[in-house]
Amino acid sequence: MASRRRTLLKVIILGDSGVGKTSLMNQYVNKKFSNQYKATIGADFLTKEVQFEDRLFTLQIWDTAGQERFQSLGVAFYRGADCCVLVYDVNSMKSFDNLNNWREEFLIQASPSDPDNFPFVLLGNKVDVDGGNSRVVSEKKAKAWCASKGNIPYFETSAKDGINVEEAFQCIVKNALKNEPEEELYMPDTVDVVGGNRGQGSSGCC
Amino acid sequence: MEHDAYCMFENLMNGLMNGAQGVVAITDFYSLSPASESSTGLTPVREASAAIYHLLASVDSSLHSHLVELGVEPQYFALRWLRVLFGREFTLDNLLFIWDEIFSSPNHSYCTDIKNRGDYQFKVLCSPRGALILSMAVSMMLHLRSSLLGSEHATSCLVRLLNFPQDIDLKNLIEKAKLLQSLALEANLPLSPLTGKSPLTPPNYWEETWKMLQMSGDKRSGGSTVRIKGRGFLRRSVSDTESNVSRTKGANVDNSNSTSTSQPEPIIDELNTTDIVPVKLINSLPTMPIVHQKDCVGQGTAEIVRSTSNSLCEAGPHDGYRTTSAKIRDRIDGAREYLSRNRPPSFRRRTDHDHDTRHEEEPCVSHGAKVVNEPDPLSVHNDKTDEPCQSDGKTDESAITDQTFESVDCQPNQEHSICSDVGPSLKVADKELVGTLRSFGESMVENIQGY
Repeated sequence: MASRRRTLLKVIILGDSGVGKTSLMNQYVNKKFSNQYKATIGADFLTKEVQFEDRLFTLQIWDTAGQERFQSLGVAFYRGADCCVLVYDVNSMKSFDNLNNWREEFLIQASPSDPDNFPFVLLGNKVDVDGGNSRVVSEKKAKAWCASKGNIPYFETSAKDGINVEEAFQCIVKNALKNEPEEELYMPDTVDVVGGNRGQGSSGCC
Repeated sequence: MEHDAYCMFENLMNGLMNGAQGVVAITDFYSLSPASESSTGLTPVREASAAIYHLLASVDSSLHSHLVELGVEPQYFALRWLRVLFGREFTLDNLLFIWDEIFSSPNHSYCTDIKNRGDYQFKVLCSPRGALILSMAVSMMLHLRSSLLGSEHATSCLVRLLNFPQDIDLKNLIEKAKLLQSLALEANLPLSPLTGKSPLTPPNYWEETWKMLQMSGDKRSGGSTVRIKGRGFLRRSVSDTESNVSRTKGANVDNSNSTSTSQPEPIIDELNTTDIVPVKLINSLPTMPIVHQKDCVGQGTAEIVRSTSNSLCEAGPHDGYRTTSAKIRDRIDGAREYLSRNRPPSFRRRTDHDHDTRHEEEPCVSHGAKVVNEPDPLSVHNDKTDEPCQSDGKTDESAITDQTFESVDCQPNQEHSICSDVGPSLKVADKELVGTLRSFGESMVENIQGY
């Protein structure tokens, strides 16, 4: 019936430097990959129009520098997030170990209303490297971590080869929407509709 | 070669200038802890980002408020701009021109008086180099002005800010930045108008100076009491002051370039430069109905006290850039036009603002101590402007405040010492100047009429 209105979904990608955050974003949005490493400074973002369940969204993907610490961007930066993507390099144990820090610090900064259910998605990147021979973090280990944090969805990706990237971001959109209150979608056609939606609000989503 | 490059890199990162510690050290932009001098508790790069908005607010309040309303915080894009000094925003060819300008700008504090936290708002703005860096950022934002103002979402603003166009008129961009540089140094001064308490400057110094000027100048009848009413009026006259100030500051900067510590000489320079103003004003536009001045003798005092106390608060070291910028926004609204028009300050002043300012001044003259001038709480620079009327107002105002706020001590202020250093010695120079200046003013009038 009504025309669908676009909604902004803000996604923040976090993880150690060099794990491939920028490359994942670039692969997803531009379908491009560069072997040249260029450190992100501060933060950068790309947007992509996505369609999900007949609705059109603008996905705003914020790529942060791995060296960046939270205080530089300010809390407002994190507070608006709809989903947080954690990335590690399956060939680097340290980047995996640091996931806890990233997650916890994000929750502190973003202080979501329901931290336990805030949507995270974990990506283990660089599965293509060396045919998987240099891999040090097993899928099992990663999944165990995800389970311990409230069943965070997990994908093994290769930004270089484009493996699982599309799927991962589909999931990211889906999870970002879990947190999205309905009201933004239905701009007032009638007063009743708006009121009804507001009433259901959070309980309807989660 | 490699050795040289490394040394230069190290000096840049550590902010060294001829072996001395300068103001801007790029490493600070990577620091995770607040600078020791900071009272905002922000990391240096955040503070510098805030300073960019502070400066933006003073030159283009509508763009500033637009971005603030959309929630576009300066650090979202300024982190990158500042940390690699625009290295990601321009092609290498263009970048070298920008760096040339930045590195040739001195990095020492432009006034040795600036030691106390209360003397400035942003540390990074304390050196001409720091000011130029931030001015460059503002210049870039102004370059994107229309598209930013046309964007209704933070996202689209950020897209533009984070993807600075490559096909730019670099010269223009740099020129604008250099114009803004002096304004930036100026905008860094504390906002308190309570600055006339230097032990060396008699409280009525400006008053007397002005009287002298007045007597040797031509007749001035005039309204009884000046009070600038109406925002537009205030704004315009203030922006007049502003351009004036920019110029004097520019002189200051130039001077410090050569002398490396800007003490008395640049100051004299400044005063001389600004002394042009009254004469110019006296001689410039012939007539202009005096409309705004009559009101508010009565409320004048009360308002002064109020606004003075306001400004006391404002000048406190704890105010964030939002407060101050909001104030400044109104104050310098006109400067934006000035900058975008890219005209020499004198031109603009002649054409647009003379009459306004002149009105303020007339009564100052005829009613010496009674004058109640606009105690512009927004004015960063009353003393600095050296416009007799302004300073005159300030003197009265501080006198009033003295009575009312005896317990409140005014901020230690660089501006004081400037007056104090040169005050007495200048009187003679003032007199001598009057003749020259008057003819200067007359030629300005001719110019105006030429238009």
